[in-house]
Amino acid sequence: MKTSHLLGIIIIAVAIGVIVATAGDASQYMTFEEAAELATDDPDTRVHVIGQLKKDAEGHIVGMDVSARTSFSFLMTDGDNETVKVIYNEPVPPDFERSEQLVINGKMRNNVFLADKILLKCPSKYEEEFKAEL
Amino acid sequence: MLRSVIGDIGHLAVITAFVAAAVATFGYFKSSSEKSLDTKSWKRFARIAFYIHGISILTAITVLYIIIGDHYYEYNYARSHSSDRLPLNYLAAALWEGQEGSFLLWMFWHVIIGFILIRIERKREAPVMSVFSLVQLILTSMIIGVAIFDVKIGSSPFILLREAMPNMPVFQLNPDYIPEDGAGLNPLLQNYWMVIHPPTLFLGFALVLVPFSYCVAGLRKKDYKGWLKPAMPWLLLAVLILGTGIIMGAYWAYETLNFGGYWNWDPVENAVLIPWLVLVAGLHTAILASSGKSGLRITYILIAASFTLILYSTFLTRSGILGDTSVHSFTDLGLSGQLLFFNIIILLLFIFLYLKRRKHIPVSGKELKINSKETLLFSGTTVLCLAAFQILVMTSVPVYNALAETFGLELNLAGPSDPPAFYGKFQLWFAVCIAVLSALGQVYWWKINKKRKLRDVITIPFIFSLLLSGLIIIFSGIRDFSYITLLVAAVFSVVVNTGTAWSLTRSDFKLSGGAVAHIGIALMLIGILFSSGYSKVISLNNSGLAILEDFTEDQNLENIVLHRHESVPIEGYELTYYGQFVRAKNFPGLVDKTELIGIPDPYKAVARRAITYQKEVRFEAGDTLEINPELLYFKVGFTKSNGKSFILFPKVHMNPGAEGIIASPALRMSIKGDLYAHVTGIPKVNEEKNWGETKTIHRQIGDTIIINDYIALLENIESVKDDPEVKLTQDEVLLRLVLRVKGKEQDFLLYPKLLLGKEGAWSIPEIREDLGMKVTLQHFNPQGEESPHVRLDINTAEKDWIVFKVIEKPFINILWIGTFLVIIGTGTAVVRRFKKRK
Repeated sequence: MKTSHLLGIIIIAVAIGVIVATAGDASQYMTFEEAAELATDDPDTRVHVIGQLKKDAEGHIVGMDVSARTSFSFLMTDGDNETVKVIYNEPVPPDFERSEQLVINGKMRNNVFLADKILLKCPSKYEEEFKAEL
Repeated sequence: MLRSVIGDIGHLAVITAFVAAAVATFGYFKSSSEKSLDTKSWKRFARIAFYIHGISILTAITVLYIIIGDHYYEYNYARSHSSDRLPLNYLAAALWEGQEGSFLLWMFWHVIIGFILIRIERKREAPVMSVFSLVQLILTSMIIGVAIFDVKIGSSPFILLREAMPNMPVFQLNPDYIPEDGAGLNPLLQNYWMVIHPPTLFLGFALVLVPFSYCVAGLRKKDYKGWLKPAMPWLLLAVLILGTGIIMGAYWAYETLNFGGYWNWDPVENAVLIPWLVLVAGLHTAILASSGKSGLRITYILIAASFTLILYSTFLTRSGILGDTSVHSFTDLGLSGQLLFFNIIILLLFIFLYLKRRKHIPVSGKELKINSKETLLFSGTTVLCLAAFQILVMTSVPVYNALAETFGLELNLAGPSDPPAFYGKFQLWFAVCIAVLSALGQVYWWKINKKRKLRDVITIPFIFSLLLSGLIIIFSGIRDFSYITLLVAAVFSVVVNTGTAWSLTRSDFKLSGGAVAHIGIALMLIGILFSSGYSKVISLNNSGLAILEDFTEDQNLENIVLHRHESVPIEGYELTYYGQFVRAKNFPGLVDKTELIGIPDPYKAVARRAITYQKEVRFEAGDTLEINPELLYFKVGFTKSNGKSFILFPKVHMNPGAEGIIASPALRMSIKGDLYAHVTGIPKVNEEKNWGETKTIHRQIGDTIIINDYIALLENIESVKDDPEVKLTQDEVLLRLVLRVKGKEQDFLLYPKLLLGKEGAWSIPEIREDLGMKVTLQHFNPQGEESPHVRLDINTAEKDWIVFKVIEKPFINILWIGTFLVIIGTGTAVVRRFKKRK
């Protein structure tokens, strides 16, 4: 067999491996309900959930508990309007309260979501200052 | 008055640049196309057009700089990126904080490189510059900001605020409204890295265009191999500068931005790493192709791929497509269609040209021998491309979602749940291959010939590196199989490449660049292995908080709470938090905030007493200092079990107008590794303290009391004439109690005051939020039983606190040392190739 063919076969094999692994490891955006279902099958699978902070009629955030300081919990409402308590093992990240949208990554356990990572989407500082100015 | 002229000049400059780039593209294309007869005059014509283009770009940058620097807030760009308080040295950073400015920066480098190429490249100027001009034409279109049949082309940095936000109600009332101040530069970006990192990275981007232009020129002019020599130094320089840019970004993220580490596999980071890996692969095949017959076709493909991937990374980071997956991509300017179009056009043009010419590109025809330098180089190239491919496949996840959406499908794919684990499990083995291949490749290249076999050269270094890595494994305690493999491979690479570099240096030092760079790569791998593989949070808090009761498993919290002056043990250290500090104008050190009295203007404060620096008084009591209240320093003492101690000052940027804090770590560097400490939480700034119940006590001067766990001495009571806080009229008397509170490191003097006037007495309490105490002097009786007698109201609250996190990054220095070797080695090669260019 020619060396170049061998090299070619190795390349193709690794490339296929990469694609398979990616397909396996790319997680999906889920709702809390789906995450809970998944957690009963495999308690250690981590998922992404997109949602918003739960707010009352006046737009104030409700259900946020920062008393522990080294960690905190909050209520998040997902796309299906289901609200779940989320616990995060770190202090409140900057601009958390201003966020329009949250992406949390972690796992569901006993109807509580334990987040490893939080990604925030905030309105630009610029727009907000503008509103304040007017 | 709205100043619209300057923006018109800028806009005109961009339009001129666009037209001139179009003319230059056409002229250079004409000059370099086979059928054209009068190539000389076309070339001269195109050259003038490119000069005009270049000067217009420089003009546009200057205009934008003036708009930002002179605070023309009627312009959207100045309003978004500049502010009155922005220090002069960060103006440049504000210039390229926005997308439009960073496009200008990129084009600036193309212009400079274009000018150099016109000067030094005599033979291939026209075909090379035709590609250059075409790319400049497309880039200029990104900032031209015109609408044709309702299709928006480009986003101009020179638009007025009212054009950018016409729906703002203020413009209905007053169309000439000019904001008072700008939003300013993100405090995290007010950093010297923001001044030097983007120019380096964009210079890297711009340099990648040079080998691409040469390779297109080669294809068009059927000069299939001749372009390699003049392009080689540029290719090496592109590898060097782009690589430096990437590592600068990594160091910046590590040292300032507090992403927790130097590499987080964020899509924005990946997007630049991918083209670099492919470019490095292309460099290796180009070296092979220029020294022999094989590797030419793949060189064309890799160089074109690296440039296309640069464009792809631009698309990823600037189109807003990364939205949900990245922490730090640009905001969407609605350019995604245009960026994508640009990407596809360049790719298709190249594929078309390549396929047309493919059969003419010389190939070696001989079959590869398994043990030859060719095979080794091709294998190395393959590994680099596969490494790039693996990162690309996952980083493109948002693109798959967007693609599926256009076909009406909902894919909803997210990135990996644990990026380091996902990328690591492949990249670790690619790294092993790269370490081994880079060692063998150098040996084959320089040392193996008919007489000398691989076995003769490699046996001794191999045994030596096994012994060396054995020792490292024993002493460092690495037990993970994959880590051990990587360590052995990297140590082997260091040993063999050091041998190669040594023997090359003895014959001609200039030849050793490659070997030195490869030592660097191997050292970087070792550094990454230890600092990332064995990075460890040492500020663990196992106190088992109520919040986590729902969970049966043990949860380690990685942060701890430190109260002022209280010592808390963590792994290997005892931590003590001493307080908040700020920087003040005309003062070289940091000022303890308790030495300052706040006044309504947050940017100013009054000295409570004389402030000294190295025993020299810099400010007298009552002097007004200009401070920066947005940047707080936290003094934290670390004491080791052997009694040795040091102080760190991690920083926090108070984000004005926003909730929360942005932390910057403090590093303690040593040979064994870095201690990476940062503040992750502080009390809310405007929150009312809960002062609890008032306790009233009667004491005499000279007595000792306990307040909030501190011992305090009622030292004296005195009448003062001059007070930084109180202005006295003629018939008023101000008394103050001197209360000495014993701190762990220093004493604090508190002065509760009593103002006696005609209409009675007022108490002016001393409030020390840092110590959690409020002391009010209610009554003073000079004739006490034995000594003067006072009545004090005392309130206490929780002492000031911070939430703190400390991480150990073992042997991270090896990573930086390796980086320097790569830069030095590649730099040596760049110099050598530029000299050999002709």
